[in-house]
Amino acid sequence: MNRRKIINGLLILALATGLNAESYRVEAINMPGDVAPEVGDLDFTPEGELVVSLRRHGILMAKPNANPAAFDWRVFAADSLHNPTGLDVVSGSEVLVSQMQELTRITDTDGDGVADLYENVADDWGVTGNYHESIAITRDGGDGWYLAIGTASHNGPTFYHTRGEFAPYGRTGRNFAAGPWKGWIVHADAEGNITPFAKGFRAHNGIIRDPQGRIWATDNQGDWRGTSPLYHVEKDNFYGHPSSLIWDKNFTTNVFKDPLQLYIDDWDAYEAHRTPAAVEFPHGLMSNSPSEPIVIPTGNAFGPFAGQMLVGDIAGPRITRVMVEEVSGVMQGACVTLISGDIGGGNNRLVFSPDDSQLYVGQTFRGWTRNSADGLKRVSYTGETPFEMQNISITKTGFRLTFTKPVDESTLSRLSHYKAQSYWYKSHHNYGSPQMDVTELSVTSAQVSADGRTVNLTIPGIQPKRIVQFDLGEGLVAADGSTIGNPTICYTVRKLR
Amino acid sequence: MEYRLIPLAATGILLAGISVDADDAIIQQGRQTFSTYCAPCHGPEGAGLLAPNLTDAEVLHGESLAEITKIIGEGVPARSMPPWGGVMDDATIEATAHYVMSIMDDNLPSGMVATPDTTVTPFPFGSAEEPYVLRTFMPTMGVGDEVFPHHGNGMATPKYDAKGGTFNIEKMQDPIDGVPGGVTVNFGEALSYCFDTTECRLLYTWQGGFMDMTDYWGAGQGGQRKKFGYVPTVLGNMVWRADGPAEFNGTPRFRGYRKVEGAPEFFYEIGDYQITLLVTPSDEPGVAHCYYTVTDSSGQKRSFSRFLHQNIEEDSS
Repeated sequence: MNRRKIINGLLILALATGLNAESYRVEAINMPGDVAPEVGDLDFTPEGELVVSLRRHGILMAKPNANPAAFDWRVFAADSLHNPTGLDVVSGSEVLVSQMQELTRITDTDGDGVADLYENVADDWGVTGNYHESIAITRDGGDGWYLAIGTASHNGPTFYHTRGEFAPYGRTGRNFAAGPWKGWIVHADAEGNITPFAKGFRAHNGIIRDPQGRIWATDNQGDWRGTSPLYHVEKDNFYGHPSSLIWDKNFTTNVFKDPLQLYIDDWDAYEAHRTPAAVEFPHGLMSNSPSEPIVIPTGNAFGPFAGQMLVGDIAGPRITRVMVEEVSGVMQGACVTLISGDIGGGNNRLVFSPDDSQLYVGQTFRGWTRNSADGLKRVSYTGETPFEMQNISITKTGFRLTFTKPVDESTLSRLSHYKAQSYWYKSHHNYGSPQMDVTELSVTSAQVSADGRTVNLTIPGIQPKRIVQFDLGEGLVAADGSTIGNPTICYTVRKLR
Repeated sequence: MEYRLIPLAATGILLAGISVDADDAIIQQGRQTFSTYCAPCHGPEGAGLLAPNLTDAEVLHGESLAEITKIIGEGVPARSMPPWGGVMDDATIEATAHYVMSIMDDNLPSGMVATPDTTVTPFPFGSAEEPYVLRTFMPTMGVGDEVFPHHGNGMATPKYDAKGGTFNIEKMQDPIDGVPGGVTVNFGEALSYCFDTTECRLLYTWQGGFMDMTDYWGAGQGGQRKKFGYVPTVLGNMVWRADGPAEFNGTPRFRGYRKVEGAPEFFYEIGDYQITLLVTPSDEPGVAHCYYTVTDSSGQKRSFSRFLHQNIEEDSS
């Protein structure tokens, strides 16, 4: 053994003894060699088959295998679909998929395992010829769907012949809404009738309805997005991207015919109109291109975070955990990294295995970033509780932090372990935003609970419309010796208690 | 209106008038063709990208001119290499083979980016037995404006300046040619066609090749997008193109399609009519056989079929 190998061996030993035990294991799932593994969406059949739609192919299914290289894939839909980024799986023989141009019901009617019927369920929106107009879907709790219809990008054109009306004032700007319902969330009933639901979105590549019946949608940093948000979506609200307002006839008739120009010129009016995000993901820190959120199932099959949300990042190697709470009538909350590194980027869609213990991650990245991956990953909870901040809540005097493991009182009460600052991002026509008004916050007291898992921090000077970022110190060690896994937490303050 | 169809033997014309000796001219002609058709999979230098490195010592399918010519013309279906015989003429294939031979000993480092067992290429194709159906943007291929009465009219708009975040009204940005809601089907070299789900109407047919999806899919596996527009390139010979107003009056409503021996049978409504359309290859290459059923509002149903013979001058490509 030469000297280099000896040094490496010592390093590995040191790391093995110093690091926390692994709580989440990441595996790459092999996909067939005759398809490009650009995952549009994922879902499971009631029988437990994993369903994958591919952005330049059709739909595959496979019963999961403990061996990630041994999935026995079958082709359910052989036809190449147009950017199929939304799935709603009814059974192993019936799947609904949102393509760029329609919501399609795909059925195997003769029982041979391969679809033979492609029915147009809904298509009453525009298609301008721009590559960026992707559609994510979620069930409405009954027999209809919510569809998140993305805007177009100035990096691509529109066609001379568009499907649906072409709006010249909707065509201007960086991301634009030249066709009907671009930048909206619409509702489709079982007969395919489309009704508008909420507006003001840019690239809301992820929508879910949670177990409480609330609708959540992510969006992507860019124009009118100072940083990437997660919205609690309520009917008729405006979520801040003005281009979509061109399809709000009440606005164009009674306010102004060119919504984008109006709000470029009058930022105060814009701020008064828009509904802000429940959670903002500081760019470069928490998520650069958030995609589909998912709620962690009840129980501890995926660790101690049941009921919270996970959000993938297409442009970063991470999956982010989100905690929300209702404060003074609005939803707001915090984000923190859960998984990073080996997962890679391109994290477009998430689905839990039927037993809730494994998270399947569909990856694709075309055109967005180089440091990402295509394909399919699987994240398994090992049963080893991670040491993390489990939850956070705003109080009248500061914040209450709860941890996954007990901490000695002397450690948890030490003020030097809590570094806090606040800032905000400006939503405007320019792309993104720097952090504005960065202000250090003082933690003046830390009251520890009897079980050693919760600390109430007193922090004077917290303001609404700010993000409060906590950076927990390295010395914040659990009673069992494990160090904090992800020490940076960002809480979006819409309202104070 | 402009449209794109890759010329079949035009690469030979590109170098006309350049003073080089005959062998070099053929190799240069082959290089041009290689750049267009082969580089998306084999890499710009032939060192491999998605498909194998052609410059190293490992020869998979033969190294003589005859063997390489045969491979280019007939393809390697098991490895998803398309048969280019329907797209290039014999002289173009042979010139390409000459170019491949000229780089075979270059021994360039492999540029393979995909796993060795992948067979994905930006040149999908089907067969008469297993037709390939693709939902994507399509070029209009010269179909006239009168065929698109139920579409919106895209207009020029001020160009967006990403750096300044402003609109420049002195630099108007024109729309581009394209069909937003096409269904495109390939039966191998015999027939391909494009059906439009907005007008519920067959737009055009062609034969010989299918499509180059590089502009939309990128070269190789998981490729980055390459172009401002995402409209694929049609490969082969245009045969038939729709013109004039539609046969049935009324608002079209696309309802979907069912598979009949692998081929899609469309079902849709135009006004009060319920219509089905099944398109299959005929015995004559490039000629589509269209089977229609039309049911009117009284429930009366009639069936008919027709052949779509060449109505496009061959030099229009």
